[in-house]
Amino acid sequence: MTPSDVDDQLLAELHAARHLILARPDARDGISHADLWGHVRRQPGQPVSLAIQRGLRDDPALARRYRAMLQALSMAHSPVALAASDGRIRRTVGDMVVELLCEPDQIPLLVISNVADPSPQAVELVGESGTALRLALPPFDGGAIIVSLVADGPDSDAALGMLQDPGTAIFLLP
Amino acid sequence: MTHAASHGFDEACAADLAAVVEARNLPPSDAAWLARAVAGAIRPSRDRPLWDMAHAIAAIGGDPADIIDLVLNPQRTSASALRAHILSTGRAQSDDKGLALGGAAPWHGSWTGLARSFALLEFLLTADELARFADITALLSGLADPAAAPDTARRLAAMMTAYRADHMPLAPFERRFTAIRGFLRQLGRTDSYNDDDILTFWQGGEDALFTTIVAHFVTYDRVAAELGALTALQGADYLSGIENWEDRLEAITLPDTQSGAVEQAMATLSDLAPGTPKVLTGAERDTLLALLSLDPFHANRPLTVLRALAFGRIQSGIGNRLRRGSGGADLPERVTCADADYSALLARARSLTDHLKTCITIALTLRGATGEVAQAGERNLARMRRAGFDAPRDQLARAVAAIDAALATATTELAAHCAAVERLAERTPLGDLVERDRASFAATFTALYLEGHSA
Repeated sequence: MTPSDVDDQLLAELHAARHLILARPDARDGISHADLWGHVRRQPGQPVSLAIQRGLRDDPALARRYRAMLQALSMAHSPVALAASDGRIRRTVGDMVVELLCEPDQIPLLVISNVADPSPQAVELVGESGTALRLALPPFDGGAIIVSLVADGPDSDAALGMLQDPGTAIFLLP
Repeated sequence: MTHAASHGFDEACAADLAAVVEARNLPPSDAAWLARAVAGAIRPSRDRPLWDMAHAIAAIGGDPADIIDLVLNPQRTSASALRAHILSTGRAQSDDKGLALGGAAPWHGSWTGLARSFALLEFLLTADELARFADITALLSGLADPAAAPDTARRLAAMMTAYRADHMPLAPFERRFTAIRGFLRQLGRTDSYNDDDILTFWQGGEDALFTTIVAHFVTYDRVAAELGALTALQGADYLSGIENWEDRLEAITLPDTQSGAVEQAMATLSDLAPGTPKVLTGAERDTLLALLSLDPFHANRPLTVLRALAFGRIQSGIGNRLRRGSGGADLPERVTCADADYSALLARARSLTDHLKTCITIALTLRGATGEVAQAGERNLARMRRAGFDAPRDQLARAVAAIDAALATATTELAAHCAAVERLAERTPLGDLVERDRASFAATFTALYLEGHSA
């Protein structure tokens, strides 16, 4: 590349830069990246923005952006289940294993094993419809993390349904 | 009007940039810097902003998620807000001028530089629907060790290069500037070329829109004005020989050196809030924006601007017709350029100037002006028949106050254009000029669009 090529490159770059600030595309309205990131970083059980939750269900582009942020924050994630196995619900999420134990007549348990320190503080389930559910995880004491899905409150039924759906993405959050 | 295809970037790139400018509410000078950083128009090294960004983040310290909190927070976009917050964490490595890293390769960065770096980081994080968000977050976590900064900077630079490859096809633009400079060198008129030289270059070159070529000459003129005659731009180290070259690159990007007034006016007028009184019709706004985007040619090369407005519109009509294959006049009729009319363009520019002046008297009156201005303003307001001017007075006052500075800038520039065209007409009547140009453009359009297609 000769010096004069470099000059023409600078001219072309300045030309594009000048017109970039003159181009006024229609503003993208709706939920800002800052608000969406704030939602991603919420504590489990913290009040959530209904507008964002509605947006996640109604706007596939917003749901994609949300998953991208969630993935950035998460310690590990699993977008979809691999081929359905023997009926057991077991997902490898990074190095960890997320398993749902739901024998008839027994309280369903969510079990996260192969956990290293520091352990995840929350699990977030994101359904294909954009529905997102975040559950706080109990402290890790060296064994597995075990969450009882009945005693733990109103989200348990929803979590149970979502965990049984192979299309549900699972994010383990710090 | 689509800027994208004709100026070196696609619609997605313009939208990605506009989203950051809007989210951070960037003043024109910072928006211009960000546009240059995205396009790569930073020298001596276009990757320098990413180098500084990586070192700054290492100096700030802490969790990457907290850094992203800070980058995306619309309340913490200014240098002073960032400084206050970062120093309050008690974790950052800084001195009295800004962030600083010691060690074998010491680094220092100002708070203003940090604010700009973060705008660029927000762009990289959010561009392409957040495609790089997770990768960048992972990269930032490596900056817990400041020694990782150079490598992180290189990876970020690779992402930026990939983005440009996808969204900013600049090679044809480079070739065109090479051709323009070669053409002017051959004429021996590197910095004193005239309107006909622009026309001749377009006619002798590739099949491009006349308005696209004019836009290249506008950039060339700005660069020549700020960096000195381009004949001097031959040595590899020419930039280091120019004082304050960084400020000068900024001046080239901003249509108005001092304050970005024209750019600001264009932004305001092209994006009027709903409920704003109808100061401009769609056609008036397009005329105004087309003129202002050619700044400074609207005032110092009136003939080229008349050509771009009259024949550029005909050429884009031909292009649309070729793409659609039907509708409106046939090609043989279009290439005759029968309806090009410089006098009509001047008349329209004058009446738009008068209209804007009327709006300004109203704006001044609503701001509480007294005396003759107020009397004229009240009369004009009573006579104004456009939508929205019958709103309650306090509401109207608020809406107009948001745009009156932009209207004043636009009026000044439009009046300068009219005066330049009038001086041109004193030397040669506009009717004679347009007849001569009509023959010239019709011949070129015939060769490009009729003979080219029957062959």
